Amino acid sequence: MTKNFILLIIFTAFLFSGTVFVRGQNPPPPPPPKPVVTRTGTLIPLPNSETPSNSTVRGRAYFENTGRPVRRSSILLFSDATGPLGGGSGLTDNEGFFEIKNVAAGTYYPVINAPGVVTPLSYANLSGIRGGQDIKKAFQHFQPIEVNGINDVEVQIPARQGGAISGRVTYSNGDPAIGVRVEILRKNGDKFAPVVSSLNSIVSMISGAGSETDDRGMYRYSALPEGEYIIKVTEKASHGDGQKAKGGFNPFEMFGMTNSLLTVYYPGAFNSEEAGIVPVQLGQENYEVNLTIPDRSLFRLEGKVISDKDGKPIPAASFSLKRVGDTTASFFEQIGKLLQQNRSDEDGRWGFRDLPPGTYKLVIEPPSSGPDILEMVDKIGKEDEDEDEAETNPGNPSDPEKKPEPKYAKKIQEITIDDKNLSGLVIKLGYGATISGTVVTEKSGEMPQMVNVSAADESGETLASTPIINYSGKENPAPQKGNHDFQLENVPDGKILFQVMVSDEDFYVKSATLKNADVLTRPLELKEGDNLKGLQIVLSKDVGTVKGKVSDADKQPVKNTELALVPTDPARRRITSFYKFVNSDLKGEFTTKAAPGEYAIVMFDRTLIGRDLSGFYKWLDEVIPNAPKVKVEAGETKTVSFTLP
Amino acid sequence: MLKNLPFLFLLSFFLISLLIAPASLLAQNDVVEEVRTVAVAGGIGFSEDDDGQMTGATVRGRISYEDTGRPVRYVPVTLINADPKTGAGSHYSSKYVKTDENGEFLIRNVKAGSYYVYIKSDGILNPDVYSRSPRIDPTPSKADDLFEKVSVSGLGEFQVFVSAKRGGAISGFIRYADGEAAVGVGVEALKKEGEKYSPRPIGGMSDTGQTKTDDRGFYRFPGLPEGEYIIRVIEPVSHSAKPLPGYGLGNDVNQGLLKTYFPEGETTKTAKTIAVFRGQEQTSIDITIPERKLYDVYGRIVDKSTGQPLGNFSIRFYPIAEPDEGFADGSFLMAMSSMSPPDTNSLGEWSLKNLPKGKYRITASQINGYIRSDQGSIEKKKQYPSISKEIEITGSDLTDVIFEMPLSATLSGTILTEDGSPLPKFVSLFAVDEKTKAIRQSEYIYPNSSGSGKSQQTPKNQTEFRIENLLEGNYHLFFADRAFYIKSFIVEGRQTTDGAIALKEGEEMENIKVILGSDMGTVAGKIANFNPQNKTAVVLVKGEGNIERTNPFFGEVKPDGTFSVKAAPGEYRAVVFSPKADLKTREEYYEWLRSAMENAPSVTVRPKETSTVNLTMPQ
Repeated sequence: MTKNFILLIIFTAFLFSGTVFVRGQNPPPPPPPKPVVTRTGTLIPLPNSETPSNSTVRGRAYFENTGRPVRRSSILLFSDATGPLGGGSGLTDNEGFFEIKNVAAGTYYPVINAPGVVTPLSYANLSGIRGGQDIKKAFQHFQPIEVNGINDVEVQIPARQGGAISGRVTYSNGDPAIGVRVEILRKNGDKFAPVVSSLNSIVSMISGAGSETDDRGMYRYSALPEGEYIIKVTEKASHGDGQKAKGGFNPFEMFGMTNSLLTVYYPGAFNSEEAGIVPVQLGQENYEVNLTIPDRSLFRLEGKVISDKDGKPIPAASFSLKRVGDTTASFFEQIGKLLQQNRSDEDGRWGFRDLPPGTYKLVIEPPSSGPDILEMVDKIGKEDEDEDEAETNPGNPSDPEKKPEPKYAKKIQEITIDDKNLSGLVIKLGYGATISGTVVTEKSGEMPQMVNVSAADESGETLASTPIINYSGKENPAPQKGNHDFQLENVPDGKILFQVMVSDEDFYVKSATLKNADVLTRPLELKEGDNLKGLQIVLSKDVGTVKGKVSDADKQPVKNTELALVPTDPARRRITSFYKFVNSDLKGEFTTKAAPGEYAIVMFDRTLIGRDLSGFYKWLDEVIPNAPKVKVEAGETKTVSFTLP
Repeated sequence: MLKNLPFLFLLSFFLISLLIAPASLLAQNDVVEEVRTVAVAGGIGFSEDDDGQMTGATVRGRISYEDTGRPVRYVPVTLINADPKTGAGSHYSSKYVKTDENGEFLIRNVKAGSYYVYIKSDGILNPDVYSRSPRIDPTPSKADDLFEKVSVSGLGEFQVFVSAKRGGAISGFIRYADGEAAVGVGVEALKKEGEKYSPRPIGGMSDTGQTKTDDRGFYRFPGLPEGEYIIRVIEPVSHSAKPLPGYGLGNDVNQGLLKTYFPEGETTKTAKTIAVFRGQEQTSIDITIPERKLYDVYGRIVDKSTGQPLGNFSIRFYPIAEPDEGFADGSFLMAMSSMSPPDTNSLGEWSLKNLPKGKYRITASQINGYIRSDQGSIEKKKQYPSISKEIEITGSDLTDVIFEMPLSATLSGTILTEDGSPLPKFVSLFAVDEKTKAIRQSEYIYPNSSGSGKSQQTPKNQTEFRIENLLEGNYHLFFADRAFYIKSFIVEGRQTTDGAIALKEGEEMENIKVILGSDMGTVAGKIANFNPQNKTAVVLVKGEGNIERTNPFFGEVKPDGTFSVKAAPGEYRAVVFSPKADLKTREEYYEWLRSAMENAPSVTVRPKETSTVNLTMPQ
């Protein structure tokens, strides 16, 4: 139960943290002291002690279609600023009336937490990247409540009954498939993103119930917004030879999270492209959406990992597999990544079992010195037991005489499994290349609080990164002259693109050059053992300001929507670090600073940056010619007003 | 060391629960069982070697469904103990492995013993006591008929073929009286055990014992063991005017008082039982929630002598169950309702909302009666004890339920050992009111720990104690420990071995010396005709005087009928505690004990000696 609860917290934090988080380009964390990192890791703004919090929100919840009360259900106030942590909650009575006391001033969205009722969560596109922005966007389907913290507020809250999909999962011989995970994904552009239909389903997803077939092989999802859906079924196999390494069981798997690759799409397809689309209308049920898990042969993939230098085996390297060409994002992908318990043993041996045929991307990460998340979770609740042992056994202090082992570079390799086991695959890890250089800001020489330099391959996968930090604690502004040098180590050989992120929006990245060649837009070819010096990164403070107002065809403001300012320059259009992301507010307005140049403003959908960036670029090329544009000039403020479909 | 701690906790809990004997605890008899299980669990240990060294045998197994013979694929499995000597039904380890596509699995490093295979999957039955999920009594005679066992000894590989048993199922729709679907209401299934219903709901969402209706008002319990069940609905309702805790996710288990039993009654009396058979489903077990009127209760808290309103009190309440309710769930409900108890405002006012007709016990307790300053001394505020009141709602709101709070009395002083030997790891003293049997406990004291939790060099042989929030009355002191007993105590200069401390309202009695003796003796022996199926303990009761005033000593009985009880020196009657009927009240408990004592053999406990006595299972 404790583990369950901790996972729930991790998970909610993961869902609601509103940090902008683009794949492969982790921006540096915001400098202290502005946000507070709670024990759960959620970023919440410090409450202002001046904010009055004496309003009572009272009213009635009713079903929009019938007018009948929503009885004995909980109502939550999601704060515009802090998500579910802000507003408080109450229960409706037999006639649907409720009262929530001591509500602080702010903008709230009432969420009815009842089975079958559509919530903002179910509109959000949770594509494995953090969904905070998406949830805010989903608020546009709901009426906000303004609370001043002094007066009471009376509201009528309509509940929309969502659609439902139900069916049965069987094996090809007709037996019910019991306890297999069923995920439901909604079409969004040319991608499919997982749907969390209600708050309670987060709990049940974690506890394993509700999102799995029952003892008859039955599943059912309700509270679905209108849209086109596909159904994904996963048999919960363990591909790792985890038993060999630890003799244990992955604690996350206990709660139904799985990184299994044994997936099937309704009505029985192996690939999401062939999946059958289920159209859903509000208030309607799609029965008999039945799925058969076809018989298929499963194979093993085994090998050894050795050092490219001396041929010695590398123990404790971590291995993970991804399907190539999968257009869905799994809800558990982020956690799943952490979960890879597949590590090479003392002799460098590693292996996967129960793999269906297909093409995979094998990612090999060198042994890390960081804490193992699985071990950490395993320790939860065992601290008491360990206490005594700790007293008698002081642990294994690291040998001070021991020199640090050189680190290996990450490696990515594509592998196809046809119709037989693959064994004896030898993976050689090298130390990679080292690149060092300096960051300068033109004219002033000032430094932002943090700059992050990273190297990625052409698919956008981050291979190595290093931060340059220039703050030393709270209330400490960035120094005039800070730390400027950086060194990127263990960068794998091959074609590399550099990405530079800056924590302060008064700065932008003007150029990054190595021997006068631009490395931001053109890939750099690296060889094992390269030691490249003199990478010059130039920052500039000559940003301009864009103020905008977005409305739809009916002249209504487009609220809470994430927009991207994308450079129209075709070379820069490919590099997301040149984008500016901004959210419109409740009036449809936004303000942002940006580097000089011409930008197209597009409604940004994070699900579009999936695994395969080429689809996203194609989409960009299509929409940019007709998108509203703005030309940013240093030190100037440009105002734009435009209509989006 | 720490492994003994839960045992001590349980033991003190056990002693105290029998002293004051709340009906629910005695009726369950679970405490006896848990003491036994915990005692042996310390013995088997979970000695897996995390370094992956082979320290035991390997169990290789294959699981298929009993009815179809098909493999049970990709499910977590682990082993649970099948040996009653080491606590049948307990989990051998918290680590699980997963079956593969052929239903096969492999568990390494298993210690010698006999095990059942535990399968974590909806609808599959397991011989497990610790889980709320479908479970079957793991006593060998019952479990061995259904579950395959694997016996492991030494190193090597042991095979087991498991045929997974599907449980039965109950499903239906819940509606309101107007025919509308009741969505998101809690549903619980209670199994009939003898003439009673299990106090703990069975099945449902993991760990909660409760399931919820979906958007159609539909519910379903899969994987139920064979037997008779009743189904009840609990509507989510808050009885407190205080906001709900947490993020609305916290109310996942409903603990309101609005219960409806299949098919539509409000008590177990009107409930219809449903027979469940393995592998079969009872459908259309539909429940209609009747229209019912709910009432509010308003009250105040005032100082008894001055009549001043008192703020800063919390109000807890629980329904007083009808004697024929069949089971008592008051204690669990009380625990849940106290999660968000209503508080009094500065005018001493409080309210309870949405209560159905019936009798309730309401308890008012002061919040933060005292503040500990940095120096460790106690800054006194005006202190009031907790007071309970019974109310009955008959057909209207109750508008002026007044608690008149007397000032609280205090007992404080020193606990020391007679012979200067170190005190046990933690110490707690209980004061029991002679008349009401109300019980108050001192804070837990860890005499040998400094604030940082590290052990000190020289263990202490004395420590201070303080028991607060006492009402006027005559109090007896109790001390729960296996190695020490209260030999005598000194109150106001008078030394006594037995006797009550008379406390007046608001009195602060200080400088009490409690002298602990460690020269306990042992009573050992064997119970003839012992039946391990019955939950049994051996109780040593002082032969002379008022049995309600003396501290009885308890010991668990091993499956072979042998027992061993440590006790203070003196004359005792040795009673086999295995009551046939449920002892619902304290009076029933003492009455039973008195009659059992008449035929019980006498035994003399001498310091540090073992006396032998042979007992017979009562007929």
